Amino acid sequence: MGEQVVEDPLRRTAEAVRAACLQAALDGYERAGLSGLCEEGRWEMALDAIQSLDVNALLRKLSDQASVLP
Amino acid sequence: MLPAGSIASRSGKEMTVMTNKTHAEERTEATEAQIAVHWKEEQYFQPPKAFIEQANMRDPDIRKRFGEDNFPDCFKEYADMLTWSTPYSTVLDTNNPPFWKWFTGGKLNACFNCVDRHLAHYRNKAAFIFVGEPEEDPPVALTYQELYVRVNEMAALLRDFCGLKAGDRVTLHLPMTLDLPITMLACARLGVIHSQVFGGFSGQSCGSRIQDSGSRILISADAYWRSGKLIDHKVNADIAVKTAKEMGQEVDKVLIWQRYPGKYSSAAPMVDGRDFFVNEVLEQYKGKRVEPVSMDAEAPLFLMYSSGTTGKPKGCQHRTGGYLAYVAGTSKYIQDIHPTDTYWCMADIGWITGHSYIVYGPLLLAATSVVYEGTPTYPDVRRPWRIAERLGVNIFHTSPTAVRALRRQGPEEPRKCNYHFKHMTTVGEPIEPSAWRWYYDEVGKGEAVIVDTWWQTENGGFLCSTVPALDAMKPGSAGPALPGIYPVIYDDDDNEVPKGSGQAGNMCIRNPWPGIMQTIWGNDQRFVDTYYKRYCKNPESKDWRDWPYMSGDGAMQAQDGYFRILGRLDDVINVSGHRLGTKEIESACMTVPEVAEAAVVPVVDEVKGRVPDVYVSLSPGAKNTDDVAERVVKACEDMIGKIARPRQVFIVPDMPKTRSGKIMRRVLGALSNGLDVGDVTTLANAGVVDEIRTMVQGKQAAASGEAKSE
Repeated sequence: MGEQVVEDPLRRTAEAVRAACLQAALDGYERAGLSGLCEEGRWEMALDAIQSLDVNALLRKLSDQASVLP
Repeated sequence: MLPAGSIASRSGKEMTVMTNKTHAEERTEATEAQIAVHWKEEQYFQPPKAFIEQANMRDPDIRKRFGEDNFPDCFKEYADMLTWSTPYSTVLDTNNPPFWKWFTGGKLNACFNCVDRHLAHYRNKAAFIFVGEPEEDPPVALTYQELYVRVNEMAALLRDFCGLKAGDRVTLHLPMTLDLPITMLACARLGVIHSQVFGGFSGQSCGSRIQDSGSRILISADAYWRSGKLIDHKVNADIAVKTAKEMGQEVDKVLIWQRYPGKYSSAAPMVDGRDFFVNEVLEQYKGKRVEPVSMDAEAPLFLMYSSGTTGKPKGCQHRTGGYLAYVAGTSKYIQDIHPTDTYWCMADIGWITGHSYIVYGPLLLAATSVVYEGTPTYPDVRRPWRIAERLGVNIFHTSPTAVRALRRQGPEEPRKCNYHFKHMTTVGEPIEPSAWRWYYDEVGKGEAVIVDTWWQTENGGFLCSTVPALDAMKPGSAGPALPGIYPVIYDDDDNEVPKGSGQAGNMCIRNPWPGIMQTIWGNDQRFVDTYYKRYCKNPESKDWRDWPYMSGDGAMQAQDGYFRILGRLDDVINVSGHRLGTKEIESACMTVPEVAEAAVVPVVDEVKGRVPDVYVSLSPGAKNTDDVAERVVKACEDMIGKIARPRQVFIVPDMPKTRSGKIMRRVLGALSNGLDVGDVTTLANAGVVDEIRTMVQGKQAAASGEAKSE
């Protein structure tokens, strides 16, 4: 029980980071495709979108969520 | 039949691949490309009579005029569309292959050709119409006269405030506003080499390109609109400068265009002494005029970086004279741009498509080019068609991805707007026949021709496309080569793949053309290794015929001469959007002790796109116990994830191999997909193919039976 209390915030953080990275990559891939890039360019853009993910915004979001949790 | 080394050439591994053919051959072959070959052949669509009657190119002998008998002089026709301050003396200089020189002896200025020379006839005609993403903001037209004024003032700023001169590089990291083409043209006016980094790229990516190009000036913006949000862009400039510095390149000045002049829209602070607002500095240069610098035809005009994901990005260096000639010619004959047209390319100027076919091509022909800031589907999917209706757009240019998105979200929307395109283009990837038909019927309302174009960042302009008034359209095919382009498809044994054979191969171009890049910035050897070494017939030769350009894209040619482009030759399987490296999966398989060799191939799956099939052969003496296949599956799942779970594991007596010992993954891919394996007579162990086919068919029949009984 005690172990789960410690793990849960970490897990939520990890899952939020994963979801944000996935969304960033998909958005980047789509945006590059709309601009007429080839598959390789889209792939590059997807990775770059992960690199430019706004970590501060993500931390703020997580912090806000944590503050409303019981 | 596709040389897998070509994908490596785009992923930064070309030094290894190009100098080690055996290694290249061992990589996964173009099984995905082979699958794409099997789109069924479509019917032809003829260009409408009304289009033909007004088209720029109606000469049925054009391909004869641009044939090998007239090469390279045929390209004078394109060069003559430009205004030269000094006429060229030689069309093509081949003395230092593959560093071709075009129109040598000639001098010209790109900005003069795009702007100044149009003032006599088109001074008050719109050069650009800017459409901001917020729909409440009205479109802004910039006439050729206004463009001339603004470009001159910006050129004066770059020269006098930044100290830039011909040959210097400057990095631009600008979004889709008019500030971008104004800055590009100002650079060109001075002979400064512009290097625009796509505005959506990160600060880190921009920084690495600053370092590679040796730019000491960065021109960026504070913000731009995207999907309803004002994106803070200045923050990327700070990251870019920091990244470049860490890589050894100092940036002296950062110029910031404001999205709303006089109002700063970023949270990032301006750095005193380094950062400057362009609109404030421009006050000092009001009314200034700068003589366009007459540049050698071979002087670099711009750098366009390509593919930095898995290797150092390549700065594709494009020349002034040849590039401009090629985009002028292709804009006129393929895009059918007239000065009276309103042309909208929905791509981004940050890519080569935007350089060639939003800025330089349309302006060279004195057209009106639309620049749209935002997302095509914002605030709703009818937005592009409202823009087309309002601005009277009659030439439309977009990507298959955009076509699919617009069809998916609003299949009937185009008909609700009163616009009429005479011509439409697709670019970026092959367009499947069903999407093509929607584009033709709904977007084009059955009135417009479509050109399905194939080319690359390295090429400057289109290489394959129909000539719209002369060639019939065929959904799914890019059409024949452009006039003056002589393609050849090679297999991985250097044999030419004949047209109509149904076989795919590596798309190459036998001849130089004016739009081809000069080199990779700062790395001539990488240029040679990446594009020419693989199929060079004689490194000592000065004859262009011995130096085919290797595109790295797979293609097949139908009997009618039309090319079907199959995309990059990849060693990656795309399963439900997850890209799985075949080598990773094979490595996982090899952790099972009994496995001696493993080969992974993609199989078409209606739901997931592609799924992996695994072929393994066992070590001598190893027993084929029931659980070997299960342990292979488990190894893939454990080491990579459930997404990598093979559809089937085939334990084969031997892998089909060439005499040099290379596993023929192409054959395995064909078997898994129920396709013709092609000629296997040259294999060292051709007999094993039938054994494997029997095994595959049996297992697939069993699986099919199980599925039905369920």
